[in-house]
Amino acid sequence: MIALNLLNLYKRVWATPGRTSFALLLMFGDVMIVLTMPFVMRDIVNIAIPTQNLSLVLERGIMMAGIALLGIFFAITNNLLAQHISLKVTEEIRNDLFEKIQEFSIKNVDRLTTGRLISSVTNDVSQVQQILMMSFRILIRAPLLMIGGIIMAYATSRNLFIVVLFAVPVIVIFILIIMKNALPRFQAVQSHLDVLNNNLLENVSASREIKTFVSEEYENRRFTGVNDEFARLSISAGKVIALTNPIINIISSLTIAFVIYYGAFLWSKGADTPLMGVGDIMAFFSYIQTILFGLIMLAMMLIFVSRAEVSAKRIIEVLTETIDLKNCDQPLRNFTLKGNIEFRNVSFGYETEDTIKGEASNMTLKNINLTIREKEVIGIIGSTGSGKSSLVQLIPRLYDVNEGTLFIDGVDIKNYDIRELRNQISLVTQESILFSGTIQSNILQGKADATMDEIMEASTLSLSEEFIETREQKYLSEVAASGTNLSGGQRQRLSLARAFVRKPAILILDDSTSAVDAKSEVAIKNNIKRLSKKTTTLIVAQKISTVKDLDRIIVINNQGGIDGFGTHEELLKKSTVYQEIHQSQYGGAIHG
Amino acid sequence: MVRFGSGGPQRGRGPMYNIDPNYKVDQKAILKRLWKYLRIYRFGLFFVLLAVIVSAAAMLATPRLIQIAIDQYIDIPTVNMQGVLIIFIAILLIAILNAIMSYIQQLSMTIIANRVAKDLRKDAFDKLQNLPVRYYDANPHGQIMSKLTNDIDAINGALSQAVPQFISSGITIFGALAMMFFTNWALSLVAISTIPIMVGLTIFISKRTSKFFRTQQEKIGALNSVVEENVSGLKAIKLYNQEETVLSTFKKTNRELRKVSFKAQFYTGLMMPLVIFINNLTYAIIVTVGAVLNIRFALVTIGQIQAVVSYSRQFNMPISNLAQLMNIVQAAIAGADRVFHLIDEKSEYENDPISSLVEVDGRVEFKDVNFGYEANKQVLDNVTFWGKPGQVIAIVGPTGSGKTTIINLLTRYYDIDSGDIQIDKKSIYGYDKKSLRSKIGIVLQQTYLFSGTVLENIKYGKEGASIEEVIAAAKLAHVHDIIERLPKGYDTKVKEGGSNFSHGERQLISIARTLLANPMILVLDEATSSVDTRTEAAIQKSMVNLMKGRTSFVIAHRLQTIRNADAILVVKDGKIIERGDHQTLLDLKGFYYEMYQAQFAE
Repeated sequence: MIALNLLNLYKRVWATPGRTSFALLLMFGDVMIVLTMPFVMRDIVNIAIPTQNLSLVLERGIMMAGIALLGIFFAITNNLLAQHISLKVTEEIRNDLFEKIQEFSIKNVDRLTTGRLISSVTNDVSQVQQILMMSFRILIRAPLLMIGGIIMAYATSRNLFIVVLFAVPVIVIFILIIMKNALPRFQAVQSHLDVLNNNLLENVSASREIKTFVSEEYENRRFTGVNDEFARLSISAGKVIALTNPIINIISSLTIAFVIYYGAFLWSKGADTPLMGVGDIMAFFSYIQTILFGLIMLAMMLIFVSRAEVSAKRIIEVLTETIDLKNCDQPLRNFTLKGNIEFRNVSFGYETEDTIKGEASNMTLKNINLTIREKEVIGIIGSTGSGKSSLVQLIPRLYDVNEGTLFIDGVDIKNYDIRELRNQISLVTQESILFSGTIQSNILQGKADATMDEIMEASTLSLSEEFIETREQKYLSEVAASGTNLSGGQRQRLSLARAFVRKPAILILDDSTSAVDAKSEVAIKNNIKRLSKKTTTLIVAQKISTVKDLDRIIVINNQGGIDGFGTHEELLKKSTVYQEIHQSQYGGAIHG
Repeated sequence: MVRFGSGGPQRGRGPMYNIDPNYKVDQKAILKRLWKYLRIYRFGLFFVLLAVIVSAAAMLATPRLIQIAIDQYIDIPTVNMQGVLIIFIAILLIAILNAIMSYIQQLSMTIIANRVAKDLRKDAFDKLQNLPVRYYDANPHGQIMSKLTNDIDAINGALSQAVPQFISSGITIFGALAMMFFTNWALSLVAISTIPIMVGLTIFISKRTSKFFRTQQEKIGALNSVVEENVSGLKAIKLYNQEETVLSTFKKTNRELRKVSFKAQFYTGLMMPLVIFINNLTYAIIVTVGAVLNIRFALVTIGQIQAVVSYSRQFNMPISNLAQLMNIVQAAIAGADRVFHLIDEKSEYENDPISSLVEVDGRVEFKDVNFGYEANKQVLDNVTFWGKPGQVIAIVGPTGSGKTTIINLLTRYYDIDSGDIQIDKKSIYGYDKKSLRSKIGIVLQQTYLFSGTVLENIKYGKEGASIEEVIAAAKLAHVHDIIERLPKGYDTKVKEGGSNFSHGERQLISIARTLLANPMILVLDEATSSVDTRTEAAIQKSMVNLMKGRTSFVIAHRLQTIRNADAILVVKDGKIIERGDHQTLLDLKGFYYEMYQAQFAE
């Protein structure tokens, strides 16, 4: 209930203690000014008017004006500082969040969902920011006002002060009860925001599908459900908040009423020896109003604090999420891979909602044992969903194995520094992912310090040269975000160029020529053969013709196991799966 | 960052944001339009108004009561305790009334604000469904989403906080003014002398800062986009160690957000101190002048000074509250601006013809079609071909030759520059888009699966399909066995975008989906390229059955897969250079022949 998570984030304001302290100081000054005003006013009423002292009136009047001027100076400077600090802290939190997200493994992201990540970076941080700003104004001001008011009230009339003593704790208790009630409701709202974001994400990503299946109505209905629920949850939280003002109002009015009554009582008792002047009662009222004003500010803010606390908790959840896949304590660095790969008793599966964290109920790959020697060219073949992509994605550690060990050059890959490991492996995925920039900048991603010669060599090998050279800007041609200038095949070739330029120790091609026409595909394959003299190459393919003449071929069966591992001829004799595939492609007689 | 590709414009990312420096936010127009949404709930608003009036009256009564108490019952020779008691009870009763009214007011306002937000979101979403594919290709997805979340959220917040304040402030100010003048007109004149200054200041500052708020909302949308794109391109980022690059893009946008937020908030934040200063000044003047009037001219009593000061506080408080709200209100206006822009986008169904395409035999014809995505870049050049019902037409050619574009035109995702496309001898431009699209089944190169179960995904092809129909379609697509092998079978949940299925599995499910939809015209866009040839062969066999009586276009460059097609169109550089069946083309010894040889030349 105590906003632990929020306070955790607020600690950051102390990163610049000088500035923050100064801001607090200015706050203090601001509040002092508010407090001295009634004092000065009291003098006018208590002293000047009864004694008809006009000059004192004017003197005090000018003093009040002067104090007001000082007040504005404090306030503006304070605003400047407070806004700067709170915005800086917000910026920092967002940067930290995103940095953390960058470290996430694919599993981490799947677990949290994209919608949640988006909500947390934008919305949750906004909630915290609003409160931060409000806090600077109120969290300092309100208690100071209250303390100042209480002190002055006590100094003015010890007797009347008793009334205040009752009012304040009562209000605080009520506020805490409201907060306790509101917290779970706010949590529900933020969680549903994730759902909303995920729903929207789907809709904008799948615009073509929706139009193809003419399912706009269906999507509308789906969304209406989510939308309506969001409104309902928001209102539910709002109901609790709506109680705040009324409760405070009643208690404050009660307080004022009591002050009048009791004040009158005391005044009546002290008719001969005045316990206090009328001016005192008036000043006391000012102080009461100041105290109550402070309380009201605090109360309203505490309600918003509940909402921010929920957001803070979500932010911290993301920040403290355990990274699935990260470097071990003392990772190996400065190594050069040769490219010997060994799978030893490796099993791997994806998580679904029903699985316990870390386990997979249905293994995609089961008990894989393979050894690939350096500079071998290996084909990988199997039916759809058998696990070909999964197998190769384990090598650059996009995922970690669930059981068993994956060795490269005799070392468990978990012992290598991840970045350096990935730098020496090139994996070309089935779907080309390129980045906005230029053709050159995309290729350079493979090797940041590649020379122009190296870039051109990679282009030639991937048969990208032909379409690059026909462009006006050649290598500096824009790879636009909308990509109208690149067709599917061109993108694949560019991805290949990026992979080649690295001259990796291990090259993995996952069905990466599917969009390339047959003629080019053959040419690329020949080029790969040349490259592979220095590289361990793994080619995931659909066609026997692609893998037929490679050194060895891995055949994966439907159960995620190895059906055969050998040369084309060996497999034709021993592997039923291979035979089936061959049959479907060449139909009938088995060719040699 | 760019996503995976097929021919033609991508599911893409346009520039992160579009900010024209000369763009002026029309605050008045936006407020008027927001009012249209609020108007629906005017009954509730009236309720709020009533509650506020009662509340305000109650609030105003209290200082008067205090004044009476002091002047008439306390500041007299013998204190009148009975009178004070009456005042006590009066204050209490008023407080209770005030509390009830306050609750009603706040609750109603929360409900209204959330409903307005809901309505806005619905309108925006409706519009999204009607926007052409082009819009999604050109705008970052994160920005689109931000309009329905962050921007509308800003409006919601402002409505629930600002509207009640506006109403109550208005009434309080009016009431306080009235009471003040009733108490002592001379002093009151002094009290209101500073109002015009404050109003002028508010208007001035809000005009100046509106563009900062607009930019702020854009940047928030941009952050949304970076996160979304980061997740969608995660594999490539990791494989190529691009984490640092992406991070610095984020940090840059983040920094820009901070800077513009500071500008926006600072200038608006100036209002508060200024208003308080003016308040204090006014306060000082009232008391000083009041004292003078009392001493010199006996025009005011002490009680009256107290009352006027109290009322002055009462009506200055709302004004300073309003100043505080300016930040929220400005952000809401900026958000509303963006949402309204979205809602005002042209629907692709705007000039849709009324006639529906009902019965379709399936004769498809392209007549002299010319098209380019951009002005000077022609993609299709005088393309003419036709397909009769029941025929399987294969379209082959090198990448970038225009094959995918043909689909884009047939489904009217894009419209031709010249020529015509006809179905059953009637131009497709004479029919409404939805009925047209429902008659064409497409299996795309990339497939998107929805979150939900596998069953729901396949059912997407035909709403209300029975489970038998679903299984039949799955069997035809040869994915039934694969699904049965999953731990929960058809009830297995599909993760975002289908990431828990392999590429090939996604395509098979997508084929099942299309089969269920049972369209008369089928277009397969390199769909089966990621499916192993074993499964592909099986699918083809059942497809033969399915394709009976239907017109099918298969766009591929796996010559093997289209060997049995009725007719083959060879497309190169946007033109059809050869056509005929497999053997005829081989005999031509032209381009097709060369491509074929290459395939089997190993």
